[in-house]
Amino acid sequence: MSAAARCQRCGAPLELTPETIVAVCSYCGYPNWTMQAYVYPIELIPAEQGKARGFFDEYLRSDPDMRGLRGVKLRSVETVYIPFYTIQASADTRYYGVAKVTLTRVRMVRSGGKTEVRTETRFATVVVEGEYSASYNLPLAARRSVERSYIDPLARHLVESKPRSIPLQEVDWEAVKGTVLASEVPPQDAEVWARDEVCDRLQKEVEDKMSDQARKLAAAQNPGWVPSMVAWLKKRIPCKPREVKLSPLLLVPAVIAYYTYQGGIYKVVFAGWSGRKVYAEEPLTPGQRLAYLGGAVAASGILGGGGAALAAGGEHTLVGLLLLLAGIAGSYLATSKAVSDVRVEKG
Amino acid sequence: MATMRCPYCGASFEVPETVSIAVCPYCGTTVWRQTGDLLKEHYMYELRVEYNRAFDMLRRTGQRLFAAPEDIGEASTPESGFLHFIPLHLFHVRVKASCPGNEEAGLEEGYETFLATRNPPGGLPRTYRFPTRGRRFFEPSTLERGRYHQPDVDPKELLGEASRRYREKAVREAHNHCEEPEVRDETRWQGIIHYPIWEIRYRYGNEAYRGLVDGADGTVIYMEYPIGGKERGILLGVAAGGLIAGAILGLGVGTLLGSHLAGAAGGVVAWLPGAYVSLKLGARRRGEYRLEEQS
Repeated sequence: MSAAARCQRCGAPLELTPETIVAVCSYCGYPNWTMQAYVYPIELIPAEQGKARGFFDEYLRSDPDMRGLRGVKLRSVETVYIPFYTIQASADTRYYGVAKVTLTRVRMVRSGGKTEVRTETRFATVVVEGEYSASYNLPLAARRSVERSYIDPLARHLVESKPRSIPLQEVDWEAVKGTVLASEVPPQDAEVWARDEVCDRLQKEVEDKMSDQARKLAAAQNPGWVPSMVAWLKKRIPCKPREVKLSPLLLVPAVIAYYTYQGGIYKVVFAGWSGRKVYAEEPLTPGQRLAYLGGAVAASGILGGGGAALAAGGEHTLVGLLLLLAGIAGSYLATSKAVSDVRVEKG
Repeated sequence: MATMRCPYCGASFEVPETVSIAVCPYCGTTVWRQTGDLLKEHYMYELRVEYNRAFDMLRRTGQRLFAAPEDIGEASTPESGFLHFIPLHLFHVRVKASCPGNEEAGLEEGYETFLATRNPPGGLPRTYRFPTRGRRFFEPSTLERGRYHQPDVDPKELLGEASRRYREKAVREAHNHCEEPEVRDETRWQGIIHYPIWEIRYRYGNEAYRGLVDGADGTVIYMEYPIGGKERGILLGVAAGGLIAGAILGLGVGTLLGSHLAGAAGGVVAWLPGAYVSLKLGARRRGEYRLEEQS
C-alpha cells in the first residue's frame, strides 16, 4: 500500500517511500518534510560535488596495488547518503581479578662436562584491582541489518575526520545527487545501543590493562622470570555508563564505484566528503599469488621443519611444537590467500 | 489450502494451511491469518537490476574467480532467469540481564533478519544483510514480475534463535555484577521484508550452472561455476610442489638444527593444510562461490 500524499502548497500528488525525508514537489518545487524530520534534528554532510570520478582516478594513481594494473575501467559510480548517529559516551569501572600467571626462565646447566640449555616454568597467583574511566565517540549506522563490509570503516573515518554538516533545512536539494536513506533506528534505541557499546569497549580495554598489571606484578614477585600467559581464576569488570549524548542524525555520503579488470567486476567505496578509500575489492596479480605461495612454503619448511627438528632434539619440545603449529597455520592461511578470488582492503 | 478474505479490499484468495501471515495478492495488505489483525511493517526492496544486468554481474563475478576457466565470461550463455520475492522476518532484539540493584547489568540490542520461507532457492543464506538501497512500501503489482513466496515460517519459531547470541552476551556482561542474573528477553518481531532475488541458470560447455543475484543492487550472493582444466593442473601442481619444497626446506633447516629427518617430516606435515586448500579446489570439476559477508 503506497501512501497517498499531496504537496502541502499546491496539492499535487507526491510519491513517498519509507526512505523519504523530504519530498520536493515536482510541480511547484516546495519541500514537503516527513514526520521524521520534525521529531529529531537531521543534518547532511555534503559530498564533494562532481568529484566521485575524481576519487576513483586518484585511487588508481596513488594506490600501490592498483598503479601497475592496465585496462581498469570504471563501470558505474553512485552516491548513497547513509544515516548515522555519532554518540559521545563515557563510562567507569572499579575492577577486580585473580590471575594465574605462567613464568618461564632459560638456564644454562653444566652436567658431565656438557652445557645444556633448559627452559623452566612456574606459576604465580596475583590479585589485580583498580579504577578506570574512559569516554568514546561512537558511530552508529541508523539502518537495520545493513551490510557491514564498508559501513564499519566508513563509521571509523566519520568520527576521526569530523566533517562539516549542515541542517537539513539549509540543504540545496537540487545539488544533492544520489540516494538518501532514512533512519530506521529511533534515537532512544541508539542510546540503548551506546550504553552497551561504551561498556563493551571499556571492558575490552580494562581486560588488556588487567593482563598487563598481572604480568608486571608476577614479574616483580619473581625476579629473573619472564611472565607469559595469564589465566583468570576470577574477573569482575562492572561497568557504569555515565554520559550518553547523541548527535543530530547525520546523512553521511558514501561513493560506491564498480570497475572491471580483465573481465572481472570489483567494488570500491569512498567517503563522499573526503575521498578516502574505506573499502576496496582488488584483483590478485600472479606476482602476489606467487608471493603468498612462497610464504606458505617458507612457513611449512622453516617453521614446520625447524619446529619438528627442535622438538625431536628433546630440549625444546614445547618451543618446537609451537613452531610446528605456527608452520601449519601459516601454510593454511597463506595458501588460502594465494588461491583466493579477490583481496579486500578496509579502512 | 485455506480461503481468506482481505479485510482491506475484500478480495478472496487462497493461502496454504501452514501459513501464519498472509498477503493479499490484489492490494498487498498483510494480515495475521488466525486473528485477521493487520501487520505493522511490510516493506519490500525495489527491483533495480534487470535480468541482463544480473547475468552480466554473474559472469563478471565468475571471471574474477581463481579456479574458473579464463573464458568463463565469453563462453557462458544464459539459459533462464527467474525472479523470486523472498520474505524475511525482521526482529528487534533487546535482552536485559539484571542483578540486584542494577537493572541493566547486561544489556544487548540489535536487529536480526531470517528467511521466512521454508523453500528458498538453494544457496541463499538463512540471514541476509541488506545492501544500502532504498525500501519501498509493499506493492503487489511488482510481484507479478516473479514468484512471490508466502511467508510460511512462524516468527515465534525464530524468536529464540534471533536473540540467542544477545542473551549469551548479556549474561556474560552481567556476571561482572552478580553470579545469577535474571534474564529478560524483550525481543519483538517487527515485520516482513520482501527482497528480490534473481535465480539464473547458465551454460558453460555441456554443463548447466546456477547463480543467485541480489535484484536490488546486483551483488552475486551465490554461484556454481566450472573449474577449468588448466586451473586444476595448477592447483594439483601447487599441492605436489609445495610438498617437495616443504620437505627440502625442512631437511635443510633440520640439518642445521641437528635432526634432518625430523626437519623434512616437519616440512611435509606443516604443508598438509596448504595441500588440502589446493586439492579442495583442484580435485573437483565444479566450484561454489558464496558471498562472504552473508555466510
